[in-house]
Amino acid sequence: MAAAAAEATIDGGGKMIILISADGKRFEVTEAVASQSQLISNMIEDDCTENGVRLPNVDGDILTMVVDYCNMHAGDAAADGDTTKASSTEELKKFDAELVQALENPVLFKLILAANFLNIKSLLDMTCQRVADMMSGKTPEQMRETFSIENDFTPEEEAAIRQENAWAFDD
Amino acid sequence: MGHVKKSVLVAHESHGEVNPPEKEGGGSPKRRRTEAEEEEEDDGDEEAAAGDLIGNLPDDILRDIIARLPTREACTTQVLAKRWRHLWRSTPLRLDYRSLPLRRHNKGNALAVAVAGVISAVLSAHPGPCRCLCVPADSSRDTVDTWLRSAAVDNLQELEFLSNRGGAPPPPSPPPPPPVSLFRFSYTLHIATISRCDLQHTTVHELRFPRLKHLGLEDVTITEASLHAMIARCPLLECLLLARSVGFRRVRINSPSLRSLGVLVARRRIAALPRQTQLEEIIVEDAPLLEKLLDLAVHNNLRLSVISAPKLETIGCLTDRWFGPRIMFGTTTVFKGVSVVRLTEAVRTVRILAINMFVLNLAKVIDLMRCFPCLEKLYLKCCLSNGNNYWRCEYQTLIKILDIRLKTVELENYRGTKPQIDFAQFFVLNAKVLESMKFVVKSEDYYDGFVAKQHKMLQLDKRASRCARFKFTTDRCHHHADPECPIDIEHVQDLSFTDPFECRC
Repeated sequence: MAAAAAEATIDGGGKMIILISADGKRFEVTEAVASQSQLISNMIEDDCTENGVRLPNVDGDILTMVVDYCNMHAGDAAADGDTTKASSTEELKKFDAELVQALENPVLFKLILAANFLNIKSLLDMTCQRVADMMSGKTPEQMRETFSIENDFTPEEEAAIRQENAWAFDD
Repeated sequence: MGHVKKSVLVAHESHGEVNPPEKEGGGSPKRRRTEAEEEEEDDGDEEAAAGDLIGNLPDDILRDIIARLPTREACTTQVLAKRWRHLWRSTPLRLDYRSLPLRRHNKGNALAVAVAGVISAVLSAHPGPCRCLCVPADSSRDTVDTWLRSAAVDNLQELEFLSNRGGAPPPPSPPPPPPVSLFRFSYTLHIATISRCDLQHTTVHELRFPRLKHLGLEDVTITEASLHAMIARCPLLECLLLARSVGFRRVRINSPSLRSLGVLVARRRIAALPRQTQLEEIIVEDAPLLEKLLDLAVHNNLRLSVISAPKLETIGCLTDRWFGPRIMFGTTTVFKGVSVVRLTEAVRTVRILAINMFVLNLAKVIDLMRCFPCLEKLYLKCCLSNGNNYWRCEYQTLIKILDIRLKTVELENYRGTKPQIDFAQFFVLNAKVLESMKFVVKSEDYYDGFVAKQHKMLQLDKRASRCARFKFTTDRCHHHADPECPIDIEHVQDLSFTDPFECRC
């Protein structure tokens, strides 16, 4: 582990942190960017990031997306209430919408898991909302199809649940 | 290094049972059965990709997703697979009757009965807790009382007691008293809408709402004293919507927390009520955080006085129909409708303004810009497109001294007539920091080549702001189509949007 690299700082003096994905990819980000993850923020407080932060259940391609997201949103918290940020708020919205729209199922769920693990609330909200949007207005059959959910109920079991909640299944 | 590992490990523990501590690729779906699949270890990721990945999410996340679904879809997730069976019942309930699947079959009273039946069924099927309950105010008071007393709704945070009139005028009869248990949640409510209730004889003024942030009173009868006491007993109140409510002639706003106030006066006076019980005047006496003041009726002659609102940023809709509201800032600056009657001190805090004019009138808009010199966004709607807005001679000197800070202009009902072109050209050629200008065109006025012609007529190539974008749209949402609806505010929570005039569809 190259401790020197992990201690690297950028021009502004903001301390840099190295994030290491499950497949060993390394990402150098500022503390401000990384602290959007409550997990890493706690580690920074506990002073245990100096050798890089290993994230053994986040793949490199997912971590790339997370880091992109955090880089885009790094200004958020700091500049809250600053009216000059108005136009970039619009950009952010667009960035978020495009990011979440483009996600295919497996990647979307991996991103949810990563956001949950790293404890990045806004990213978790956004990705969960995306799944909910994909389910809204659909019948259970359509939901199963959308997410490749295998129905493991027996026909009798399923009929019983439908009966129990007849109001929701009435057409 | 050891330190780091420890932290990661702790995080794993909090991560729950679903994810294995090692690589995610190892987290293959539980229902993988055949040996052939079992052997294809290397292809684990691809296999997982094809399989039931959503079932691998932890319970808490699935509950989070279910909580975001409409009531019906949330309930139907129970039948997806065994993995989902218990989740809905352990997810805090959001019960909104508007999303229930009944509309097509029933009408009128039969619909109301069917809705009530479903609400009762949901409340008995779900053990609670219920976070958000939205029920129709036209159900019988006893039925509503039964719902509100059920244990599932203890500690309710969001209550919407809505009258489902769908735009129809209110029934001539005065509203009935509220259900007895309506206020048993006063200590836990964060959001409340109360519709079609006579609160005059209830003890609402004695209640406290220590957590209430959003309050909507729609078609409610309440006395002036009770209303003032109620506002005073909501120490965290941020948004207040008063819609078609009567029983008071004047509202005085004194609130250290209020950010947004929306008022919709009844279209017609209710003949049965004495004059002094119908809203005529709003006085913002002391509202240090108030940002938005919204008058939601096109036809009204409210008197609005703003004595102290140092953060007031957004005003609308100024209108010149009927007599138009009369607005006074401080003690001297006065508007009548959209006309500046007297201007002694500019109001520098206002950045967003919406105007609804019968006839587009540039002179009046320029007066308003002088009154609100820091204006950045301007929304304009007009009924008629005639008039005269030729400005080149008249405003030659004015243009040199007028510092137009507008960044966004939106013009509705744009048809490309001469007065409209003259009007819009003023902004095209003089607004130096303009970023975007949007023309909402009625589809019947739109034809092939419309945009090209307008580009030329408006002299967009000579625009004062090189970075300005110009957009022509025939988007016709409810908000654009309805001339009686200047702002798309249907609910008290809509008041919390940064820019309430922005089209959200």
